[in-house]
Amino acid sequence: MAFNKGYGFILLFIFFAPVFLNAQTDSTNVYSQKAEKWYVPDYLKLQFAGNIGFVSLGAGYSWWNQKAQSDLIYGYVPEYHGNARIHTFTQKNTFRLINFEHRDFDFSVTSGFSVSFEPGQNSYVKIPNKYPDGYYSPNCVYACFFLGNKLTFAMDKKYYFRKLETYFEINALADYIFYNIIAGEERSSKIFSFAVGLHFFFPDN
Amino acid sequence: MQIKMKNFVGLGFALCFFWMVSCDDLFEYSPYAANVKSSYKNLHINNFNKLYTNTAPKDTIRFAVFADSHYNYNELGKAVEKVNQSPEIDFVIVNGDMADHGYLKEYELFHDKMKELIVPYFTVIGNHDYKSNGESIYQQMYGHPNKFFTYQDNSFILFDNIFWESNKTPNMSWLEAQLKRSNTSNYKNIFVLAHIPPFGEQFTDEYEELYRGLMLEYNVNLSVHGHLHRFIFDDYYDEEMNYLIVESIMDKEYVIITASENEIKVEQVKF
Repeated sequence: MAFNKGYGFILLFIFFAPVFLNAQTDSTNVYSQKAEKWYVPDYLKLQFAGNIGFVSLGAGYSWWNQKAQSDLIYGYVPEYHGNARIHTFTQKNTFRLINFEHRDFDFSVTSGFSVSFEPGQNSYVKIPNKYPDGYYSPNCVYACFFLGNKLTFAMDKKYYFRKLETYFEINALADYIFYNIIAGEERSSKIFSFAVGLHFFFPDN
Repeated sequence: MQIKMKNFVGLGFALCFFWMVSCDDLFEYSPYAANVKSSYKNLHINNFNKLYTNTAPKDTIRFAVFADSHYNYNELGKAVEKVNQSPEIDFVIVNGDMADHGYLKEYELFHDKMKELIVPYFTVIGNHDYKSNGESIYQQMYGHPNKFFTYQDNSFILFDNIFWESNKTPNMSWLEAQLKRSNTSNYKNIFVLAHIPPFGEQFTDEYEELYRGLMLEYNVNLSVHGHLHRFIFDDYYDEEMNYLIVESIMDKEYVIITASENEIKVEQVKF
């Protein structure tokens, strides 16, 4: 994908937002209790790239004693970046594999998968009637796998959000991984791409 | 100490980011995106230039036809290697379905293998190539799906005959115009290459008759197809008009066609 360098600086700003926002050291606060009402999301999510949209916005929940996070995300690719307008709805699950606590932040290695739905023009939920049975399987849904890391910072009390997470992931579509497995020695490293994002944690009720 | 640690981590991430933003290709927004990178655009133009460079006149030409590679990059890579070992082949035609879901990544991985060919290659659009935003990707990479070219006094018509995925009917008047032009120019042979055979499931009876009639009327020497994932080479309608269906690359097979003024030889190559 063509990538404008100007975005690099925006991304750089997003990733280091905690530093600019003067994130403070208070690691006991980093993993505090979630909101009392179960349906209220724990955090807002903003992601750049990662095969789920140019920019994606969503909300998510932490569960399994903070070891897992599940999100619902809407992603958009403008025509300028995709040569087509693309809307994507994604359910994403991230699991914490390893966690290191530092007094300024927590650093975690993560892994997970997402399932995306794209109601596009020539991609089908239900195959149109003109096709015989079994001609195609629905091609509007795809899965991604990823490995990543995240930094979690407690926020200063003067800010609305309780803590901030920044993450960086390397991902590939499940289809691409399958292609690479059957490609044997003809496999390609081009199936992998990157994503960066932010989680803004709501204050406790 | 605290500041130093932050700076250290910050510096590490900053370096990663500067490395990332200084390279293309590291961020992907959707598998359905159709923003073809410049190095993958207009490949047919380079290939035509390559075909017409330093060609001395000759009586016999040889070309290979691949079909239906989909996502079988291992077999495709092996086929490319095999063609590269045959110096007498002039070019390769891929008879459709080089993608599977119509994803940009599939088109890219396909070209990454095909660019290893010593000889140029040309493509016919297949039904899978139309899926998702495949049509737009195809056009950016290979130009209009309907193409006409000549080589050593042989006429080649690459024809888009996809009905369902393209949401249109094939442009039969364009096909007829190219056939007429080929006939009046007295070429040694006329080859029509189209992904779906006229007896394939997407053709209506009306279009099947129309296609069959054109082949006979303009004395086409060979109508070459893919799509069925099996090899067929016969006079399908028993009217002295040969139809060749090329086996899928995934089954480790392609064909080599040798053509001179009086003879067309079709050879199955297994690898």
